[in-house]
Amino acid sequence: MRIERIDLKNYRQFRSVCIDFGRSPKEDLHILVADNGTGKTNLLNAINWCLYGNEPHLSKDSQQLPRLNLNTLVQATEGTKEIVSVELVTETEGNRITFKRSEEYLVHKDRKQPVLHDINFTVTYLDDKKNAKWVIDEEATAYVERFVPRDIREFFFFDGERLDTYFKSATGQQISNAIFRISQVDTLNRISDRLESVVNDLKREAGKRSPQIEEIREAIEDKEKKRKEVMEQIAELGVQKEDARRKIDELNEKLRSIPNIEALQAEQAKLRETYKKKDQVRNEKVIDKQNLLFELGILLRLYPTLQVSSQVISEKVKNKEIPQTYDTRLLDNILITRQCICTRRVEEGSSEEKHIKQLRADIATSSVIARELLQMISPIEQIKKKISTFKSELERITKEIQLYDEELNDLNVKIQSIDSQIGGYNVEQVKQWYSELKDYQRIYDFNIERITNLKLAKERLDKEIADLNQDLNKALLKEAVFQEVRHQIAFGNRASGVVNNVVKTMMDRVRKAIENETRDSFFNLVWKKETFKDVYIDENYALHLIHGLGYECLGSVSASERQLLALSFVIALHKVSGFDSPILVDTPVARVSNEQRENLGKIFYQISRNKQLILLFLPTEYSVEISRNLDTCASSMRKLRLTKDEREIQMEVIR
Amino acid sequence: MPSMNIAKQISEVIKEQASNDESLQEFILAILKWELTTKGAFQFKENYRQMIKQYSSKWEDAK
Repeated sequence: MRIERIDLKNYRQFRSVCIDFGRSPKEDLHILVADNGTGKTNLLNAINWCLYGNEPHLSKDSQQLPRLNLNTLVQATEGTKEIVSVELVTETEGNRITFKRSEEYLVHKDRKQPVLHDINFTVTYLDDKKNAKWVIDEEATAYVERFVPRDIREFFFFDGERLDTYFKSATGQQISNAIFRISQVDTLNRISDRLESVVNDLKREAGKRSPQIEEIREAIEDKEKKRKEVMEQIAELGVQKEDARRKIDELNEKLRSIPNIEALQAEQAKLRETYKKKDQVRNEKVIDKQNLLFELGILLRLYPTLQVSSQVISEKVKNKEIPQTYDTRLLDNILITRQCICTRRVEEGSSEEKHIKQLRADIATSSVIARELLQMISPIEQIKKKISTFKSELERITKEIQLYDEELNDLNVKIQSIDSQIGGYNVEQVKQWYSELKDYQRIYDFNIERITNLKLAKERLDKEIADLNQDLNKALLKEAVFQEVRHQIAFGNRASGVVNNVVKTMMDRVRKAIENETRDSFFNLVWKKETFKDVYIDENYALHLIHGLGYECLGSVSASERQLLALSFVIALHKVSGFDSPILVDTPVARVSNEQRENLGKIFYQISRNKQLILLFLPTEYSVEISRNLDTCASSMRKLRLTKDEREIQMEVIR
Repeated sequence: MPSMNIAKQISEVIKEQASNDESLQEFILAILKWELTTKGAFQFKENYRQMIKQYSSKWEDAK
């Protein structure tokens, strides 16, 4: 489907605007440039309102205003009827289909809002014989569903900001729902539910005629009820598990280039503790060295004197001058006997006596000195020994201090290295992320465990239900009256089983087809071909983008690359679903850098060669980087501006 | 109808899944067609019962 024309009458600021989207031979690209509040988003709302009857992108201010154009409302006379309408003329495989929604309002001057009087929704088309046909209201709504189903419209018309955050909001569950819808699995599931309901009715009817059959039927019903509860729990936990996995992926991406600050801080605390202990020991060694220097410093000063003394004493010992060998007993005897060895008398008070006494005193003094000199030998030797070991002792302590200094220096380098690793990050934020990561991992693991247990419980119930159904079959077989109903139940059960298998196969096929188309589109359009390795949709329907180095990188790629992936996914959905609608993007490059705008400009151009693309730019967005790629190839280009009273939009056709 | 491609695929998968069981195939395809054209019908029970009766009469089960 492509939009050929939008005709807006009295719809909000669009009092009377008709936009024609005639295509060029090669491209189908349409550009509208408008300031904020100048109708871009309301154009998106107008399409939604026309097709589905609501306006999902309406701002809070606009919600307060009537849908009827304000100038029309002000200029209308009391009691007149005014019509708001949006007409969407489309073309699908050569057939023109027109969707038109209108509301008729009754204007009362004493009321702020006009009174809604009538609503109409019409779809006009040509039948097989090219006769004009139209359907209204519910039938028209059903008709829209066949072209762009309401449930998946968000994959067709969206604003650029949403495109950037596409895979944050389009969770696995939503993608799964879209695939569900696209695969028409919802129809198959409805068939399965309805078959089950009809088969249960058949069993119930048989049960009314046989207590035994009723007993088995009730048991089956009870087990089926339990199985349904278990399956609901599995689905609910699956959503929780998927949410946790998405959060884990997001956090891992945030933290991928950030060190584990908590672990580093713990390591740093350990290093600081070791530093403190080693520093304490080192300081003790320094004190030891100081004590050694203080103690031996004095001895060192005396060393020459001690050396000389030692030499003198040694020589005296060597010369046998010490110890002295004088025998003072002879002198003492002379003084007692008063007779010298030569028999000469030594008189009291004589000079001889004085001399002998002096000699006796001299010998006594000399002996004390000699003894003391001899006693000095050992301490001097000890001091000398100590002095002789001083150097090695000093070297040992100095070496130890040096080693401690080196160790402390290494520790300091490590501590500083951690500081530099942590520096520049918001430490509290990173810690918070790590803490959240742990929590989500716990939730994820817990849910996996619970889902596994529930799946086992479901398998047990499946087996019990199958056994009970066999019992029922046997019970029905016993009586001829039940033959037909038994046959119908078996047929219904078999049909239900086939339908359930078809659901699984279709879901897998559609998922795979969307995955392949997304991958093809993305790698065909992306400007950095070597940066990325793969795109895939996992079993939980979450989309993954894999970097060339093998890691998940959806959250860390540039805004333009994210937008490209979202566009590729949307194109894939369109192709696989067969709902080949235009892509309409409001503010498509508002969050994209100038350099990337150039790339996206080229991408838009390439997309427009195969699909209708309507882009609603802000004037600042439509920068030279974009315009130089799109100006020449755009099929149409228009500018929208507000009138002075800001109640009407005027359109200027550039091309 | 834009979604014809998917509908065609569903038909193929139904034929694969119920191969060698023509009555079952025909029944599921008939139900699918009815669901796609009469979406949200309230009288589904009556219709399903009638179709089960009709298609199961030609069907042989293993018992």
